[in-house]
Amino acid sequence: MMKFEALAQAVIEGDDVTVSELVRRGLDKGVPAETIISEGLTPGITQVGELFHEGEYFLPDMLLSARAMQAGISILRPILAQRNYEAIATAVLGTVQGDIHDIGKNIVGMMMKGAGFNVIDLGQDVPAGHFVEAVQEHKPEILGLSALLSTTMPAMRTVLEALQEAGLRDEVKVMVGGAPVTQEYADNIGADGYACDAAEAVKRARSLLGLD
Amino acid sequence: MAKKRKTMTSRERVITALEHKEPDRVPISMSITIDAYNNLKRYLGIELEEDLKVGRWTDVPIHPLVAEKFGLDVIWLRMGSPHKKPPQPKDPNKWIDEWGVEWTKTPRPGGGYYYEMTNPPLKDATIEDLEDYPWPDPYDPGRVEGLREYFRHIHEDTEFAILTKFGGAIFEQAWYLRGMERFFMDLIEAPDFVHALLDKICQVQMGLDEVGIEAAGEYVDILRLSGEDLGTQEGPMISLPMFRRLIRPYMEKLWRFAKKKLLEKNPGAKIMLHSCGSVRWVIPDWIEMGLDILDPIQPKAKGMDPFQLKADFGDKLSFHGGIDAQYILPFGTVEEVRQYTRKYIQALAPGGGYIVAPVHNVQGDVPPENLVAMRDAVEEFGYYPINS
Repeated sequence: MMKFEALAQAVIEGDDVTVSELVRRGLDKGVPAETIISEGLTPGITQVGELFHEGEYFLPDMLLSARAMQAGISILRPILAQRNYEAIATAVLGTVQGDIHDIGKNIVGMMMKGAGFNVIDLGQDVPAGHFVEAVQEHKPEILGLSALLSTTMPAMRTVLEALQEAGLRDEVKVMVGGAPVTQEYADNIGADGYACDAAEAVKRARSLLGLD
Repeated sequence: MAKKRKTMTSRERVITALEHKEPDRVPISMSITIDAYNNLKRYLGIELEEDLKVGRWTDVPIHPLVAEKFGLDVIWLRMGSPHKKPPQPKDPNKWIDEWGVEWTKTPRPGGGYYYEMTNPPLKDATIEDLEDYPWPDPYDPGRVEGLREYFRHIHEDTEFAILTKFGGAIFEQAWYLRGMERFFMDLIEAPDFVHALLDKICQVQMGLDEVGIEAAGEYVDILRLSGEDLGTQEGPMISLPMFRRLIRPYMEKLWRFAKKKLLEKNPGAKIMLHSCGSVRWVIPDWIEMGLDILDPIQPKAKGMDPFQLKADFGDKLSFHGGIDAQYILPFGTVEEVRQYTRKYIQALAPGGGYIVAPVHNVQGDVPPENLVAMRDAVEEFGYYPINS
């Protein structure tokens, strides 16, 4: 029997060493990788997101929990890949061109993995063309765009226009986020969704895909 | 209606406001990046050849002629650069500052550029490594060469209030050196390292304040204690207990040292902190630590409603900033800028204690007509008594 609660708690406490240990023990006991995620890691990272949203957890806590989560995911991913595990959806994420800030995007990515998404992170300073190529290649259900600065935020509109031009706009739900971004801006540029933090991003993504 | 007219010099206006008294009109201040500055000069029809020294934040000093033509009351002056410079990378788009932090010229969509930090030098350091690290030398003579003469010239030959910065940040400099992700995790996992790092940084910043104030303190009206961004858009970056435990001791040591030295030279001078984001939660601590002025009052950050800030802290704290740079200045119409500036004057100016300014170094995406609209709004709505 695996201690799923202990695993969730280790994620909440940002204890990557314990997460790794418990994940390995679970695998040794024959617990399926997807169950370790759904019963242990996901509840942990979901709780972390709620704690952050409620103002009880702050960035240092989030980063440690994200690292702990990643420690578990990196052990489980190869196993899931071998078994052709199907995530609930695929999300491609990236920070837009000219912007190299990614802490927020990385936390969103972690929360989405925790929620069962297959996440492909294109990194920072991603030109519109690369987002389009990634949508063509990976056929994600969600495309997430991040920007920290008012000076790079306009690149979000450029990505949407590039998707339109490539005939892909209707193939993917586009979400936007980052410090200067607002719901109003998201509506203005024709994005499908906006969220103010990582926990809300997961909820919004699920809602866009009719998963709630 | 009485005709609006200025009855004070810029310096008198600023000093009066910072004493929590009502001057003739709300003062104006501004800091700006290179592209926006060149755009503004063109817009104002100013043909002035300048050898612009671009700072870490892609910021440039505003020439007194430009400041006068635009109508600023505060002029931002800089300390000199040290003679000893760190070795520079071969890549012309990168440079290393005196702390060893790498900056990369990053192009912006639509043109222009910004300097971004790209390689934290202490990302893998241990406490022992901090002893051997080549920390900046506050006593490098380049920093104060000509400083006293230039500050005196501005003080005696112009009417501007002088704002300057000598020593820099504690918290911010720590994550520039360590990398933000790593440092934030250190705050929980490696508090001993945090203490050691902040102590080293504090020593350097105190040295910089000491030499700068000794050279030119009597001419300084506002000493900017650098930028310590402690808020995100939505809330605190770190918890208040963590701030008090790990960060405040060093910040307070630096501030009290700097303020004491400064007031010995200029009893009327004030200290100002820049902190972006949602920072209401830490303002009481900052007031306790001796802060006189808070910049920039980031309007779209949570909890930073100017009416509420004035009501809660306005008797003890002056405010500098307020004019939104995330939406209003870059993307707003001239009328939106006018109304926005009016609102902030109405909120923060009664009783004095407010200097209008954009909330950050004006970025390249801000049209010069919007800066002029901000200035014109101060001229239209900023004379006392403030009409609410």
